Amino acid sequence: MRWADQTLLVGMDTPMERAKFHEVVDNLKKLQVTSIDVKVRVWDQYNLSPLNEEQGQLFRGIIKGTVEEVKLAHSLGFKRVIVRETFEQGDGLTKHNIAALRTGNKRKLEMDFLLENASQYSVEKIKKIWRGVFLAGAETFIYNDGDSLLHPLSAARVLGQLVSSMPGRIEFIAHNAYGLATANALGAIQAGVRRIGTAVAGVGCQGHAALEEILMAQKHLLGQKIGETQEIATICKTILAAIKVPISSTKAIIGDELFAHESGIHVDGVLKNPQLYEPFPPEEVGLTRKLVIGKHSGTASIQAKFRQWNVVVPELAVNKILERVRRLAVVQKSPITDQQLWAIYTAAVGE
Amino acid sequence: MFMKDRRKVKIVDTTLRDGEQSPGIVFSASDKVMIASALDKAGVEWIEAGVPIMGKEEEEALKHILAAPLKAKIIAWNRAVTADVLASVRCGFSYVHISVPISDLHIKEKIKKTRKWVLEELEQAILLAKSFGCTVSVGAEDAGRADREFFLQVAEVAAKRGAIHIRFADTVGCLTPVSTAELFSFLLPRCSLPIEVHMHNDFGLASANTVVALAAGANMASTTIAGIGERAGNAGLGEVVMALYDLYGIDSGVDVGSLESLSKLVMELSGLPKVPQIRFPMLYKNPRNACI
Repeated sequence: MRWADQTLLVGMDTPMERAKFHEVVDNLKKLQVTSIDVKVRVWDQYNLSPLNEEQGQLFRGIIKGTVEEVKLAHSLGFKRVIVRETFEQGDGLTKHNIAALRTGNKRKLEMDFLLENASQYSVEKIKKIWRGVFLAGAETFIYNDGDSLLHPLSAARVLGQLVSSMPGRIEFIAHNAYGLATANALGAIQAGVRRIGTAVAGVGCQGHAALEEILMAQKHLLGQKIGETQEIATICKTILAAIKVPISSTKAIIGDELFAHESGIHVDGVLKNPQLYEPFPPEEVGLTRKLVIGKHSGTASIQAKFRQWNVVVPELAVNKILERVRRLAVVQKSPITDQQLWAIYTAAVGE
Repeated sequence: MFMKDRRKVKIVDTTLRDGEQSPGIVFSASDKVMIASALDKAGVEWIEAGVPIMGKEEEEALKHILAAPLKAKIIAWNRAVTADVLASVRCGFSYVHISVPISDLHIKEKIKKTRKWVLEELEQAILLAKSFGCTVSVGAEDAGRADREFFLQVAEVAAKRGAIHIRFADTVGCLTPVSTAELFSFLLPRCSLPIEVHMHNDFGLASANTVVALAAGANMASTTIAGIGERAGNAGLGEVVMALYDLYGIDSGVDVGSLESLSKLVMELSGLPKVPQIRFPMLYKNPRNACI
């Protein structure tokens, strides 16, 4: 699998601080992305120095399909370039696009072509466009579902047809207007696509497939081997902080509160065997399990909490404690703190 | 396609039950009534309101909801335990959901019993609820990791005792869209009851698995507003409703115009920090041309 990162692109558009650039890139490399996409003009605006050799292999510069833009990319040191076009209905490749692709080839750049609104076109029309692009020297066709028109099975079907009938490489970038990006990307992967556009936490204007979700889904749901994951939550959150995009504390795979169990039935289950209510252990992604005492707690929760402090709560007191915990939680609209719990316990056993 | 020709499905919203189980969220009695009323006004026909056995505060909140002039059917969640069912009946519920674990993992490790025992307890609980005149739906917990034949068996037993539909709960969110499509094309023609799909978001697939299962022919789906719920949450009401309309031409009966205010209401009442990435259709926030 090859992951084409879109996170930096989103960050640079936000815009992020120039000082954070290297921190983001270093952390993206830890997530084993195979390329990092950036807009060439934005690279220029950020006053980033020309790409060194390593960067030339890692970064792909996005440009509009003109010769002028190819030349700019080349002068900045880009070795991999993406010509990005949005076609109006009925349009196809223009002679400018073809000239741009050819110019890039002549300068020994790896040229890719991204159709921003690919999902508005039929498979046949895509094949036609791709043939023209391939003949003009592009190596990868990047199918961008800019309008979020695909759902998981149509993504599998469409991309499956393309991957099996087209020359060169195909890449798929899913978007998340309906919360389907990760699912669409998985559908494409299962249909044979090996190059997928992703972003950490699926950030972006119309969202992306979330890299951490796809990696873990590959491991646990598709039974495929992936790299180490114990740092994934930390790395993702470092990147998100650097690009100043906040996420929910219950964001799948990396949210801090994912393994905070409160429901009595869930706590009871997790104490017996965490697999009952956890798809994978928190340590696998670098998170920790928490036991929350609140409105939904049961007697097992209370006992477990006190066991952490080497205290056994007398049977008669547990229900009294539970009743007071539930009442307080509703009144203050939040879980019970350790101090509050101790106070309730002390009062209950004292009676 | 005209509206009247669209296929229809039903949403069973569980913001007030599964949603509230989300870490740190507590709804007061008046919060619950407000949310239930807003859901009702938006056209949601089934509202899973809570768990009566959870205690006095919960019972009080539920009684308030039951007293409100809502069109929606208000459901109490129960285990297949006599005390649970009696608490629901005492509370005044006409619609009762009875959930049993159906994966061998849950049956062995959590309740330390057998499949046979589960079926017997389920039957007894249904009979008890029906003896009080309740309408019963049944829930198959951890169905995502269970033997599919046993799921069908549970449905058959439930149907025989008069349950009206069965919830397929993917408790730890481990289905993929492709496996969901395959699984439901297998289950639907063989199931003795209509299926309500209940997906979790551990791998970011709850809304996707939900719409795929509905497209495959399931009639009903659980959602929560903003996808709140255990761990990474549930299928998001907004995402599911919009995807159904726009991508599948399926009518959920929910007013699209209410989705944003429902989300805002729950975010306010839950006290969760307002975070842009909370699960809500992005097309509401970012017009397409702003992104190109």
